[in-house]
Amino acid sequence: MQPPFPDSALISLRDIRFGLGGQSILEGVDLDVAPGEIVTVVGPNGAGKSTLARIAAGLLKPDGGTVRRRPGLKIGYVPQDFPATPPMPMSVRRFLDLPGSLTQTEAQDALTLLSAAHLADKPIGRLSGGERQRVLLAMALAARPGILILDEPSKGLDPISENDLYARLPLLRDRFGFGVLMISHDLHVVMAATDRVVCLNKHICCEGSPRDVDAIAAFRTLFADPEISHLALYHHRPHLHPHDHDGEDGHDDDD
Amino acid sequence: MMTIDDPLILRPLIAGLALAVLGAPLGCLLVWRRIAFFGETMAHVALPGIAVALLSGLPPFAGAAAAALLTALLLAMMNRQADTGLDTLLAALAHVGLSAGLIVLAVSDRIRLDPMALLFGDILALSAADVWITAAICAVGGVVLARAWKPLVFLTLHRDLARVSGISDRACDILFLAGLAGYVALAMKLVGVLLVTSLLIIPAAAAQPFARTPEGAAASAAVLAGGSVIGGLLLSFAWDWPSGPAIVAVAGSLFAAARLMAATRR
Repeated sequence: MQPPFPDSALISLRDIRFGLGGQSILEGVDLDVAPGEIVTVVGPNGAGKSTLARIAAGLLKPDGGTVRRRPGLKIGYVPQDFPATPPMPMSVRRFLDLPGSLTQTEAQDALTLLSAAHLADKPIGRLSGGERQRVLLAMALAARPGILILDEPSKGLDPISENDLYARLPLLRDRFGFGVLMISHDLHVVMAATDRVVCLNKHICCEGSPRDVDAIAAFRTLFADPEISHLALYHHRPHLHPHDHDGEDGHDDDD
Repeated sequence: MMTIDDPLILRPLIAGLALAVLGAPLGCLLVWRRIAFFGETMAHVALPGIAVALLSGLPPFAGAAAAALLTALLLAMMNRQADTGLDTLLAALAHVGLSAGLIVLAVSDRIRLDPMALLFGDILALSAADVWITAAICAVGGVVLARAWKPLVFLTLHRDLARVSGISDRACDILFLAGLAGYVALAMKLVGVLLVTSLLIIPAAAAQPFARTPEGAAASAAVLAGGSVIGGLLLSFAWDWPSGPAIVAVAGSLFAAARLMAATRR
């Protein structure tokens, strides 16, 4: 049984299936993001996290399942990769102008919001990793999104820039009220910035508050040994989520 | 010996300058997308298109453009399956296309056409009508390209970001490929099948180190391409050099000079 579609959700994914070259990447994933909620998807390499983010952003069509977005929902997207040396010459200001829907003031405001106003005239090929991340976030924010989708936003960042990013995110959410769907490979760095954690390894193996999820053995083994965790996950699928369907959600960690 | 005020030099000059201006932004997009060889393949495959058009009494331009566009769409589809590298596909298609065209031209006694003229261009064959058609199509193409420029640049820089912002990548790609096919078919008379992409690629590559904006790069490329056309045609008329290779030789010198300047500036 699929959980019903909540009316309040910005994005609802139901029974999402996706495969590539005969290999299954997502197997029946359900996910909702509510307004003002920060949801972080964690999981090992190859768990299908980025695929899920791309499906939520509408960049990829799932092989099966339903994607529902609130009508008129604007999406701000921060991709996993952005070329450190872009192919063409371009300033940050000109980059923010690319979506074509922003005024100069809006673009400047978005940069200011991220303490990046001084970068406006810098060529995008000369930005540091942290600066690049802030500029990408500025572009996503400037579109006044209803939901922000961040695919491994701290990839390639030094710890200071990483902390800076995760410190900003809840503040921006409080100010603008958007929902956030964030992908991460490391729960601990995003814990403080997250309302709800979803552990993904092709299917959702557990979800709950960061503290609860951190305490689950299934989550720990997920990252310890991919082989063992994969088997273990099929044996028991602990769900901490309150709306759980039937009574089979034992958290007994017998390994 | 021809002189500079001869109408025979004015024709290739007008057509060449029109092609230089339209080719600059197209060439920049090719260079930025790192698909320089893509234009080459389209040009080579245009040759059998021309041959078939001539055999069936159609205008050669239409045959060239249709063959180039079909190939581009085919490549775009094949590339999505991506089990063979794009470079391999491009190289294979380019040479198969060229060979097919040369075979058709050789065995058909209904086509009286010097293959050399198709391969390297024949500006003496440019009629006044050719020139005006070229200029008109370049003007229309320029207007369309200017309107699609921003989404095309965005897609080239980052496809996913552009798509999330609402840009239709498929429509833009088809427009770009159609523009490229039309360009290749138009430029063929001036520089020939074998050299047609050089007018796209070389000035665009030469312009990159000095530009600060995408538009700046396209504008500088247009100036360099225009200079190559003028210089090449002058050399061609003064010393009887073949026109296509002369244009490419000048473009190549400008490219080398630009690289040298960029290297010493650092």
